[in-house]
Amino acid sequence: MATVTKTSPAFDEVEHKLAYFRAAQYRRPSDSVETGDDRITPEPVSEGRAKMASAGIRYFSDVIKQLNELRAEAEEDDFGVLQATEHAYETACQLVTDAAILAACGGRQIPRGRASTDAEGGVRIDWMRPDAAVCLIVPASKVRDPYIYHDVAGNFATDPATDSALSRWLREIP
Amino acid sequence: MSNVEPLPCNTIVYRAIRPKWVDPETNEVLPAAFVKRPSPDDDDGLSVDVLSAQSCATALKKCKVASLHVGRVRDAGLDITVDDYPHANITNVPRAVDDETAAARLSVALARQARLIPPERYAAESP
Repeated sequence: MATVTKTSPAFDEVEHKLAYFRAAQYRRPSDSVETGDDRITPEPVSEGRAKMASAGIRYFSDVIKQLNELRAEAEEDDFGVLQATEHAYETACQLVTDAAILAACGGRQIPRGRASTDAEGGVRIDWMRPDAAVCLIVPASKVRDPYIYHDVAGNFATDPATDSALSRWLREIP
Repeated sequence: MSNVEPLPCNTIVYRAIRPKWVDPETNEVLPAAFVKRPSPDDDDGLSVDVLSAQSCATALKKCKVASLHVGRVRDAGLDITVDDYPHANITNVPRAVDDETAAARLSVALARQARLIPPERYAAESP
């Protein structure tokens, strides 16, 4: 009779941390009916996202911290909407988290980036380097789809924003 | 005062930008500083000031100021035209709703050219 040996899958520390924080930040899908203007009734930053921001995961935690700050900004300034809309914030956090997980599974980390809002509360994260740029652009509402712009080695284009596309393009950012 | 003469290529112009549109670690201007707002805002282009950083800074309550070189803006296929001195517009910048790739490309190109003016420089220009 053959002996069956049970073994646990091996995870490195980064994968473990990211899996933990993804589970911690899980939120029930919202109802399909819009119940209010997300620009004036912001959800507080979830405990899971606060943990991600303070976890010290190199560059990833800093990007999440920047996004949390944008969600907690004043509603408006001279340029328009300053505070990230819930849609833009949630979408950007999810894409960056998933891209970071994919990167970690490939033995990489996402590079240092800088998040900001446009004049409508849309979010963009820019990874700018002297010879390359990758930008994740998430419009303020669902009316327009998020996209990724890349300018690498003189080639530029936009792609629909997915975790795999973001992870792939961020490989080009030193 | 109106000025229809083309600006010389060696002119420096100034753009008021949101403080969050600057990377605090590198002081580099972010591409978000060069994205058009929804119509009717920015229909004529992205606002700049041709007089001085101080003149630019007084236009808004809380902003930082970045400088741009007119000749380099033209190299990117754009132009700058004065409409109500010292106000001018960077023209030919598309909105993302019309051409998301061109809008993103130009925002990155302008951000790469822009230089942040240290606040003490334009504060010192005050009379």
